[in-house]
Amino acid sequence: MANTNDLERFLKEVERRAYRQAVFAVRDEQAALDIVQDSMMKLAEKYAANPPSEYPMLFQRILQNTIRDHFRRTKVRNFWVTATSFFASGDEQDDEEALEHVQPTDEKDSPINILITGKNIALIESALEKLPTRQREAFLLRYWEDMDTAETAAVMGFSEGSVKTHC
Amino acid sequence: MNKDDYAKQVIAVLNSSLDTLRPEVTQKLQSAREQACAMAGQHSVIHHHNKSGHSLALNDWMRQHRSGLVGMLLVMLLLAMVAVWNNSSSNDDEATDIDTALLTGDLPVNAYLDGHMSKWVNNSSDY
Repeated sequence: MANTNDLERFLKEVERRAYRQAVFAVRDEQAALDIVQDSMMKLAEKYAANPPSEYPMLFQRILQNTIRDHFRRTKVRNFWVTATSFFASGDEQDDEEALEHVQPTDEKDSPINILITGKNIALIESALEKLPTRQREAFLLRYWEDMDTAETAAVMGFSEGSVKTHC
Repeated sequence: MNKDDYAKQVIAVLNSSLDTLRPEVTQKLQSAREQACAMAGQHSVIHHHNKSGHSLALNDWMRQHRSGLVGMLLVMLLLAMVAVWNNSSSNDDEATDIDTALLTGDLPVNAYLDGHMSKWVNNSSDY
């Protein structure tokens, strides 16, 4: 039971940052929520019995892997959508899809949200989104998650030198 | 301003942005967290039950199959006795065969009386 309390405390502390990290990576709020939920469930299912000191590393590793899985799934889905749309003849469906793509998936880009959250936040978030994936991950892990170079390297699966290059 | 200070300022802005998450998002995160914790709780309870359950199940099984276990032990003892008796009787059979061969003349007595031969057998067993 003690571990469940520790786990809850840890997740409560990290969930919002994890969500933001996922949004920066996938640029889709709903997908980001799913990714964070999946990561939480995986941590709870497989590693809840581990010492709480290991939670940050494990969770970040799971989160990064879940984000990569999301990209892989999206890539496969896009491939099949492209392949099937090549053979499909309906033009109306294409129009509907185009409209769906036009709709903003992330409401933080809306002018109201920018006004509420402040210009600086919007600028920084947009700058972070424009960063290459590895560089963004390394920066967020090093400075936002307060991990040292070795921990960041372990989570990202790179060498410490590579992490230093990216930060 | 060095790189670390700049990074800290950026992180401070990012941290302040966490408070402006929409209520739906925070609610979904909270429910996800609660689900995860519930799952962790269930897993720990199942794990605990499994751990203590193994010894209890073993005790129950032994109590229910006590007579079967005693019977199995008796059968094993009987089989061991049969194996020992069989081994000793086969040794007796060998001795009887040699005696018979000696009496009927199939085996020359000189083979046992020959000192050189026993010496050779002893020496050859050293190798």
